[in-house]
Amino acid sequence: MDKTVGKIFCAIIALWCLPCYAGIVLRALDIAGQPLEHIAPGELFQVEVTIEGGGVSAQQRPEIKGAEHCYIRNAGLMVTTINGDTTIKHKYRARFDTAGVFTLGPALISRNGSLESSNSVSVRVTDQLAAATRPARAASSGSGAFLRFSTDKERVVVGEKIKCLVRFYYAEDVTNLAPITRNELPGFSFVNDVETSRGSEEISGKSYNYVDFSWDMVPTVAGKRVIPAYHTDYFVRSKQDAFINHLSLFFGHGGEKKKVYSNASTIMVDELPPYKGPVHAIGNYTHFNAYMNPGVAKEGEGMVLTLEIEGEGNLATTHNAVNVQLPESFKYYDSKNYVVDPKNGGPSKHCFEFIVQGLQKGNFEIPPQSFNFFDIKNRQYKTLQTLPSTVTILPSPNMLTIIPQMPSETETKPTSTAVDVSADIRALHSGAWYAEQERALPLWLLLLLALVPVLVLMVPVVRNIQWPSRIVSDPVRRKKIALKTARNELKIAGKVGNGKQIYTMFINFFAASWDLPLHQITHDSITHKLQELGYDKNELEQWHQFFNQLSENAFFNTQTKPGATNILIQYAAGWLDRFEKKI
Amino acid sequence: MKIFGVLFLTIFSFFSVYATQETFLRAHKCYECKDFKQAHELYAAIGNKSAATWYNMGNCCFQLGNYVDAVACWHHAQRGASGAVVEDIAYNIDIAEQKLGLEKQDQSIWTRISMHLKKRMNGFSLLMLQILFLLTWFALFFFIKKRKRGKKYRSLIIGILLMINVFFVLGLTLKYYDALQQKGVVMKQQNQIFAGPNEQYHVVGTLPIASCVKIIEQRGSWCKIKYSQDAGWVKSETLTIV
Repeated sequence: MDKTVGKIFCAIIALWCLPCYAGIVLRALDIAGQPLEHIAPGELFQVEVTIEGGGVSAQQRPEIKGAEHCYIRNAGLMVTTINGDTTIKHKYRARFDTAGVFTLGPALISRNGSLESSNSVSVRVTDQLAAATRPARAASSGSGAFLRFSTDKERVVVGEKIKCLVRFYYAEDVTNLAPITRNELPGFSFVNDVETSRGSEEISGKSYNYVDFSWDMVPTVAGKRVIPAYHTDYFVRSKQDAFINHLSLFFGHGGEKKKVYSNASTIMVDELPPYKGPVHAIGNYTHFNAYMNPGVAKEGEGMVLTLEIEGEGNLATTHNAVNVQLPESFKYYDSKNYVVDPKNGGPSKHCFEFIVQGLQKGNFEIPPQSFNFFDIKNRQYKTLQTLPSTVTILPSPNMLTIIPQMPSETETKPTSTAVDVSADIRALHSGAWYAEQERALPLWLLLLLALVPVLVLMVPVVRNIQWPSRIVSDPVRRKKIALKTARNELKIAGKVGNGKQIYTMFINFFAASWDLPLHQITHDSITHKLQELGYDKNELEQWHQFFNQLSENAFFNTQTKPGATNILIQYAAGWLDRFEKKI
Repeated sequence: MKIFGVLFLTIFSFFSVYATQETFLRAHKCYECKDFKQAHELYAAIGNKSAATWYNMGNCCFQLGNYVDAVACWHHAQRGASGAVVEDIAYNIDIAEQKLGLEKQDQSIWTRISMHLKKRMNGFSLLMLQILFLLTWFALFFFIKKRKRGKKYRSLIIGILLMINVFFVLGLTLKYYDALQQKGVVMKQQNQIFAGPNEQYHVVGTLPIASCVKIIEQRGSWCKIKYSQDAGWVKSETLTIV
């Protein structure tokens, strides 16, 4: 008995020590965290995989079967441990882009070498979500705001314009709303930018303010196209503390940030039926007119042809230019395109202008111009035509009678088409038929000859430059230069007839020859130097007399006899010759 | 044998020169008879064309309606042309450009001055300009060196000689610049100018047809050109180098 009770007690303790119920659970919830009932294509929802018990690493992600049918993204991980029990919660955000009933799960993980699986959940994705259910859901989730996406058509053809509208309803105190992000949609091209407007609407007896985001787009690919849900963020003023709310307004948006998603939408895009010929537009067009202004012009003069198309459609977006039909002798050029919006709210007019030139004189009929378009109301092709008109081209005296051929890009040789002789250009020249080589001096010779007078002018200047270093270093050269300078000065003195300069000339000569300063050249020093050079007494006496005469002539205001200066100069020249031999 | 060969060559060259002269005159005759195509072919057959030959070729192209080729031929003729030919060439190019609907470009003041000087220099050949320049240059230095007692007249003469020298120097500079400058005529409509010598470079502008451009550099099949305020690279095949 005791043994049995003991065994039961041990079993109870062992059971109690064993880890609590270890399992894996998969759940699908809406964005608000409520159990998911049904969802629209493109609308985001949450997927949670809860793993209880140990033996599983938090890094190990469970594999969810059926996730390949949806767009799923990891949204976080939460790990809690209570009394040694670890619970790991993997969170995901997912979205189904097509309608239907989908099965998510089971989620599979590996624990202690064995594979464990969770339950599966069924997700019902509906095409459209009734507007009435949205406010109820918004109210039940406590947000008070919701987003609705709608289009003006559910079935279109390729190229037909669709008006899209995203309306943000709000009943609470929204402080800020982020603009709708219009992502690129494969198979659609956007026509214009997003336009916004405001208003209010009553839904299920409750008044809502709204902000509209609208734009136009055009499908480019046929088939069933799903436009996923749009989303936006908005801020709601918190009710907790008004004072803090007011303060927080200074630092940012103020309040609690929330996210809201719209419904998705499905559009059926049909191919255009086949048509022989060019299709210029898709839409609803009523009138097509053509005007030529002026109706009478001279040859070569420009006229303006205006094609006016009234109606709505994708004419502005299409690159198919309207084909212009004109007589052969007319040339036309694209000028400009513009849209005229009527002030009273009627259909707009698309205008295409062309510059037209008539190259031949005469009366010409401008044939009817055709405009082919696909009528979206009646779902068939229609053609609008203008009325024919008449244009008169008057002769112009300056125009050639035959159309001249304009040279093509590659044409370099003349064609055989002759034109009437124009008297405008000058006549032929009959000169030499061969290129004569122009006779001219070579450039180097020209420059050399140009330098000759410059050199001739520069030579005396260069010669008169006394190079101090050379004079000092070479005594013989110094003496020669001194002698030459003295003779030049004597010559000048002779020409001028000034005998007073001869004294100065000799002083400079002796100073330069003996390399002495001027103040050391005196009568005695000259005599002494001449004695050293070997001049005898007679010569020294002669020099003494001559030098005295020079001094008197230079420093005293004596009236010299005519011819006396010449005699002095002759004596001075003689003395210079003597000095040349000995000095 | 050598003498025979020399004699043969002399007679041959005489007759070939004579034949070319005859071609030139025949082309003249065809033009007067309004057979412009034949006249053009005959002028084109002449090798080493003179300014007169190019000018006449341009006239033939114009009469045949090939205004672009006419402009190219006239630009060719500008090299080596003097006197009345230069004026006629400029006049004819204006007419052809009007026919092509080209707008006359605004010219800078330096371009106008150089064109005005060119007109004045039309009657002077390069040799004549060189000789006149040297004469006035020597005369200038002669008067600078000579020191006469009449200083007033000396200064006046030096001043006049200096001005004449400047005129001749400008004329010589223009002549040498024109001789060294390479030009081209655009043969293609709306020819694109690229930023580099490759079509992968971005387009910096377009050239109107028959416009005359300065060729700065040649690299492979591309030419670097300058036209008005634009400079860039164009394909050599779209230009006719004159």
